[in-house]
Amino acid sequence: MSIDSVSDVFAFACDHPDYWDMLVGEDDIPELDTEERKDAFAAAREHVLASTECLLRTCLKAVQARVPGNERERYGHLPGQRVNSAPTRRNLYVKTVFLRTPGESAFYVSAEKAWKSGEIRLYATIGSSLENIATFSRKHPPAPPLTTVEGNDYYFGHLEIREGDSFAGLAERLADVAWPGVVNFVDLIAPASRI
Amino acid sequence: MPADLSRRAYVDAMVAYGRALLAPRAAERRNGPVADVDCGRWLDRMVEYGRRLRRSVAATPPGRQSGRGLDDFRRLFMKDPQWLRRRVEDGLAARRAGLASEAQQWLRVLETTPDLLGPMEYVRYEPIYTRVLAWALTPSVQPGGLGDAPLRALLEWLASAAPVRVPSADEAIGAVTVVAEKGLGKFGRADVWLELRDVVIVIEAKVDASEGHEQVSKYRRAVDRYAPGKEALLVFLTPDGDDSTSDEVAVPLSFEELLRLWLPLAAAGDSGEHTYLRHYLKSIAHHVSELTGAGPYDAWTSYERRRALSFLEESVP
Repeated sequence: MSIDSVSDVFAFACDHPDYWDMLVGEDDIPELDTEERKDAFAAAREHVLASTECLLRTCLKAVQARVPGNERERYGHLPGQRVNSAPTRRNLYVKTVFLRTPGESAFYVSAEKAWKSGEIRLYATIGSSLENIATFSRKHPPAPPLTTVEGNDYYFGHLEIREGDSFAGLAERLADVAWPGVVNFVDLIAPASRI
Repeated sequence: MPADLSRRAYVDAMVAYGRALLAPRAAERRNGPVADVDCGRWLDRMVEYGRRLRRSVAATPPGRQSGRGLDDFRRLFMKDPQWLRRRVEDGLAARRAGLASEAQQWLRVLETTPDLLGPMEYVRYEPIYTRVLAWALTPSVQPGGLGDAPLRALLEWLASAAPVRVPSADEAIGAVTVVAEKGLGKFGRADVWLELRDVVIVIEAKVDASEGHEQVSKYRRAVDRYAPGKEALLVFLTPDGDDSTSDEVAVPLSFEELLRLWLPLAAAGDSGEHTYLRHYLKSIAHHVSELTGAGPYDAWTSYERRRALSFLEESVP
């Protein structure tokens, strides 16, 4: 399915975390009492999942496009993208791994619930070893709520997902938010002299 | 019937069939050893496979389905989001009221606030989970405390689940040594090293990370080296009870199963140790198994309440 912008249904799911949970995290909603309601819900589920995947892939491509051609080795392989298969599927993300850095660092783009507040946001994140994250945090202290550290993850920032937003536009904005952080992280953890 | 709907109906039927096959396992879990653990795990996977296949089949006819179906979604749900919320609330209230009394006790443990690790914000930090795990497995001498109940519960479960003979708790528990993060030289570092009279249980826990190459196999050699003459029993603890990828046989244990073993213990007393265990189990339930939300039941989302109730209904029929 080719989707290139945030539909009213996708935006509704992002604005209503309980619906997001039911659409993205659950297969069977026993309270849906008619075939019509079940089919409508299934269609929305398909649409939200497909929209999320299209949006995340577009975002990742936008970030990848900023890697200078002669630096691809240092920034990692950027291998095949995959949408996660976490047990609950609540936090969908596309993941790519910077193979060169110690601790198997990974760059993530995700649509997931804002920590504490609950709305669905678009996130850009580096996941790495605690040591790497601590080193990076010392040099680039997180400034909540935009940049935060949660365990092994350093969140570079997040964007709201609003009806009518084009995926390409969102992706560019996310890349604007994430790219400086990616550069700083790779420079610190995998300096050019090491390669 | 269009081909895609026919396929979907088939997959729906397969999922329902898998569920029906799994239903007796809940009773077995409560009433005694499960004889066909491998079969049960296989069935779990079959059901999960069916679910994924259904999603895949549902996604097959994109163009056609997203037209009328989405219009129906707009009309039926987006115009009145409260309709489904009310239905869900009513359904969950009825399910909660119908829980067995033991399950109600477990639920009270799952409501423990705050959980142990949440305020530290290391909610999926593996070493902390294993250190507290080691603490719980260490027999306590505090009057009115947990004693050796957590260790006994684990041994009894292992005796039913392990493909090798596991000594009974009475046989095994002598001078018990429990070490978290035990350094094993060239063999690595064991998350929990539990040395009993004739056997060493090595628990390798994974929350997010994946297993190192032949990681578990190295622990068997470490037991030969550091506890010669003792049997090695390897346990692989993960959120979903995954199998180890090592050549050596390791008993897969899920954090959810650990909750089943220890929730009744945590609910059975009010000592400081019981309280501490309750806070730890809440961390597991909330952050690892994702069965609950933060805080008490009423603060959980409907999704979290549904997951918690399903877990309780399955565990304590």
